[in-house]
This record gives sequence, C-alpha cells and structure tokens, in this order.
Amino acid sequence: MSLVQIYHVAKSYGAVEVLRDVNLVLERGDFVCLTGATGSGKSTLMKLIYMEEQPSEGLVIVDGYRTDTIRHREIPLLRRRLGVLFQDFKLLRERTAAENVAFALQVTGASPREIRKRTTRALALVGLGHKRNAYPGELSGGEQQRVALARALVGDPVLLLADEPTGNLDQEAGAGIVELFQRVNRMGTAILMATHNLGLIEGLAAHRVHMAGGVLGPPVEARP
Amino acid sequence: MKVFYAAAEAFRSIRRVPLMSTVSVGTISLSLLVFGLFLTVTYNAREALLDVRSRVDIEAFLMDGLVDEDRLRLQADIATLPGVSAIRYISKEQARTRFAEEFGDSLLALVDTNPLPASFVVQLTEDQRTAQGAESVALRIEPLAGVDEVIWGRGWIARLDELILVLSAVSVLIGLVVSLASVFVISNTVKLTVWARRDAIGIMKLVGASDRYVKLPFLIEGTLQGLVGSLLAVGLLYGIYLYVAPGLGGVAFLPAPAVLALVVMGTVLGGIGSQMSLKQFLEV
Repeated sequence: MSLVQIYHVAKSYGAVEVLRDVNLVLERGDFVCLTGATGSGKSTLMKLIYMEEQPSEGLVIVDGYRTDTIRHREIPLLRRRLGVLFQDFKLLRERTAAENVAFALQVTGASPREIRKRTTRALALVGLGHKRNAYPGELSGGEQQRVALARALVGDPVLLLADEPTGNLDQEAGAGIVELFQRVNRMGTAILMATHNLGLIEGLAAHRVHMAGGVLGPPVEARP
Repeated sequence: MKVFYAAAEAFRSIRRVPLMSTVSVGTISLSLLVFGLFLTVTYNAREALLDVRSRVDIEAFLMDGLVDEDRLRLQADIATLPGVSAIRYISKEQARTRFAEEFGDSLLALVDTNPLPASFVVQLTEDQRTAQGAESVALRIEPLAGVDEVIWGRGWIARLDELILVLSAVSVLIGLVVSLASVFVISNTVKLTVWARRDAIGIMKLVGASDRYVKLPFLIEGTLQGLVGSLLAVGLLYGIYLYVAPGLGGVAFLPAPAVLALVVMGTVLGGIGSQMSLKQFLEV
C-alpha cells in the first residue's frame, strides 16, 4: 500500500478555498519536492498529511490512517510515525539540543536508556553530537534546524514532512540540510519537502510537483 | 515513568513562572481562608446552640397534697414515656431552697406556708431535643393524674431549630460560592500558564503526545497549587484562631475532619480548575 494517498482533496476556510481537487500518491522511500509560491497551499497540504486539519472534501490516507475514519486519540499514533520540520525550527528555548531531541521520545513512553541511545544516534546523524548540551540560542540557524531534524528522525519515521525547512537559512546552511535529507532518504525514509526556493533543489534527485493557487500540477520529473 | 516525567514538567513550569503559581496559590488560600473563617464561626455557633438545646428540659409541676405513693407511681409513668431519658424530683422544700438561691429569702419570708409546688424535671433523649420532640413529650405528661402544669421552652426551641437550619444552609451556600470562585480563578490562572507554554504544547502534539500526556503536568501543577493553597489557608486560619481565641473564651478550632475536608476541597478544586482551561489548547 502506498504511504500517502490523497484523493480529490479540497480544503476551505469559510469562503476561502485553499486547496482544490488535489491528488497525490507517495510511495515508501520517495523523495518529493513540493514547489510553489508562498500561499499556494503547500503548508495546508502538509497539515492534512499530519492530520492537524481535516479535508473539506476528499480523502487522505497516511500509513493506513484515513482522515474519514481516524479517531482523535489515534492522531498521536500517526504522528509518531512521522517527522515534521518547519521553517522556524520549533525548538524549546529552555532545553538543550539533546533534551529537545529526547522530548519526542519521552511522549511515546520509551525507556530512559532507549531515549539516551537514540538521541545520541540522531544527533550524530545530523553532525551535532558535540553540541548536545548547547541551548538553541547558542546555535546557528543551520544547527538549530539540524537539531529539529534530529528530533524529527529520532523516532525512525516512515515519512519526513519538511515545510520550507531552509526558509530561514542562508544558502550554505540550506544546502547542508538538503544534503542531510538525501542521506536520510537513502536510509529509507520518505521525504516530502515543500519549498519555494527552486535553486535549492536544482539537480536534486527527487520527484517534483508544483502547486499554484491550491491546485497541484502534474509531477515534474527529476532532472538528471 | 510518565508520571515522573509529568511531575518533573509540573515543577519545571512552577519554577519557570513562579508568579503565576503564587497567584494561584494565593487565590486558593484566600478563598479557603474566608470559607474556613466562616466555617469556624458557624461551627462554634452551632455547637453553642446545640449545647443550649441539650439543656432543654420539661418541668412538670405537681398538685399540692399528692401522697408519696401516687407521686412515685407518676414518676415511674413519666420515666417510661418514649423520649424521656431522666427524671428528677424536686420537692417543695428543694423548690423553696432553689427559689431562695435565685431570688433571695425576702420574698418567701412574707408568707407563712411554702407556696412553691413540687415538680419533676424531665430530661429528653437526644433525638427528642427539638421543638416537636419536647412538645410531644409534654403533651403526654400533661393529662397524667397529679400533674398540675407542664412548662417547656415552646417558642425558643423552635427558634433555635430554625437558627441551626439557617446556619447550616448558609455554610453550604458559602462553600458553594467559594468553590465556584476558586475553580474559576484557578482555571484562568492555569490558562495563563498554558498560554505561556502553548508552543511546547504544540510541539508535544506534533511529535505525537496524547491529550492525556499533555494534560498530566497541568493536572499535577493545579493539584499541587490547590494543596499548597489549602494548607496555607489552614495554617493562616489556625494562626488567626490562636490570636483571637483567647479574647473570646471557649471558642473551638474546626474539628480534624473539617480541616481535612478543607484541604481535600482545595486540592480537588486545583485539579479541576487546571483541566477546565486546557481543552481549547488541545485541538491541534
């Protein structure tokens, strides 16, 4: 079964139509870049996938969870299978890098030993093992986003959702993040990255779909 | 594990925003202090009234010239009436002595013979010490042979009963108002705490925390604030009692069960208040 299936989805907030007849299928291990201008509906599509929002019309199925049948108390279970990354990192300022990463495992009720082990591994993966005790305020933007990435990956998600992950980063730090994405993807995690920065994904071996005015265009094949 | 984590989160939050906790604890303790003060006053008033009521007795005056045999039979009859716990005979001579003690000898000196009748003082069982109980016993004594007149505190017992009822009702009412006010204030204070931590809550939800998991630290925080607030209130109440009681004489502090109830009430209110404000923040 496909990892993500989106069928004829529309989303409106009152009279404002944000998405219209969106169809998209993501397979396990896919790397898909969702391009489009700010306000084109990329973030809303992301929200539908991690089920912060319900579609006004149509159906979203993620890893077997369906928007039309999922119960409120099942949503946390779905989210533990996903990793989510935002433009503004969403780190807790008063916790160290390691504590921020461990946080995602604590809510699942993992044992302290398990948490320690996996936190260390996740921080090492993003190359921040040596800054585990630093607070977000002491880290650069790129480093903060890497901590957020470690947090998103620490639970071994099947899908990483990244909503403008490089929006607040300079070119070099942004490229570093995308490089990490490629490594993570090679390890088997599917990635859906929304971005309006086309330069960033130039030459990236990934499917590309374009969104404009709430409508998803046909897939653009990855360039060699 | 989850509970330890939640407790750690609760303490972290209290440390991070001590002012909010102080406001919560202060409000709970003030509300409960007011309630406690009122309870103490009602409790003492009630005790005093009950004490007065326990002294409610019926006095049956006997006809002059009753022979001993008849008097003893009458005494036995009254003693076996339902609602009577004790009966005491006051002879004409004792009545005279009692009168002399209360009003002095001078009046009695004016008359040759002893004008005071002999009587029985009838004590009621505890459950009959009400206006109705006293009346029903009195009405049974009145028709007995040898009884001249029965007196008992008709009106004032009824008024006493009313007073006790009103006092109890007012206590309950004040308790209710204090409860509502506390829940309201606590839930609003927690709302501020929650608002201050909405980012953390959002992240928790995003990484797959269940609602219960998000709520638990707040529940612990609110409950703790309730507990500390009510302990503080009891302490203050006792302090006030120690300061004021000597001047009033014979005033009692609240009995242990009431103190315990006050603490439990504060603790529970703290918990309830914290949960009420969370709902809207969990819809992520």
